[in-house]
Amino acid sequence: MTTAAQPEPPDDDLIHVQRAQAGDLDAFDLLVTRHQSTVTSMLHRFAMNRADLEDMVQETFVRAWSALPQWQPDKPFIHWLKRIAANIGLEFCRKHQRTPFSRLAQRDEQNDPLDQIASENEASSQTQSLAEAQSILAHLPPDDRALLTLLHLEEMPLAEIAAHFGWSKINAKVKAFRARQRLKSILTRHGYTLD
Amino acid sequence: MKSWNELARNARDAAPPSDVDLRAAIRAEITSSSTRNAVPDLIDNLAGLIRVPWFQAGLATCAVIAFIACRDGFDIVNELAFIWQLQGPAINGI
Repeated sequence: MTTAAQPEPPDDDLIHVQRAQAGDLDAFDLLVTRHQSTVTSMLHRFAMNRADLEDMVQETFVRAWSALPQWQPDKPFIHWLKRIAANIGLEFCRKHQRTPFSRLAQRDEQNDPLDQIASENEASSQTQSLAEAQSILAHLPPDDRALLTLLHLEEMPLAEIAAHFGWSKINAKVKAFRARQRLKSILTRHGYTLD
Repeated sequence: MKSWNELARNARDAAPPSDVDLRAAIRAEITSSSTRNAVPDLIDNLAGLIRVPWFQAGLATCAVIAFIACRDGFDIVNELAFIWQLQGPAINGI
């Protein structure tokens, strides 16, 4: 049995985006209310730290506001917003690239007893898994880290990642292959296998 | 050996904070940035002027004219420098 192609739902955001493009901040507020959980969820894959996460979400919407005149209604608003968020995630990876000194800083942070108490009480196993995955991915170069964060943790299709970062599909495939190779060697050091 | 896929699967289930509401912060940032953009300061104006091609061309022309005008005076400048150089040991001797 074949399923008929579902028609795309109309973009409910269109009217609000058009009003925001005309400078209506209240309409933009509605868009923020509607999409901030999606953006937060996506950027949470890059940073669990509350302050970093809020900074990134805020930056996403501020940039969206500035770039609103360039938005075209041919694609849903959320896709365009995700593109901005993905690039902010990439910038975050570039800014927080791992250095020999970052390990020392991380150790100091881990030794904070208040953090330890908080993490013991609050952290679920999923949260710990995310922290560990982020810690492993942080060993990669920034572009690889952003790519694999979206691919493995956000489960974003490679074609979509390529479109967000302005790469060709072939280039994205090559980058993903090389990133996986690098990840493989890092995983071995951490006692993991890439099945 | 642990499985990366298993770790990634667990990590995907990690819930993001549900109480993130940045509407006020975003609105404040947008409002302040639009105010900043509306009143460009002197440095912005100067930086903008330096980026204009005709201004750069004019500056380069002025530099060339100044070089041509001063070229004839180089001998005199060299003489003065030489005399200045000689004065050093003489003053030290005193």
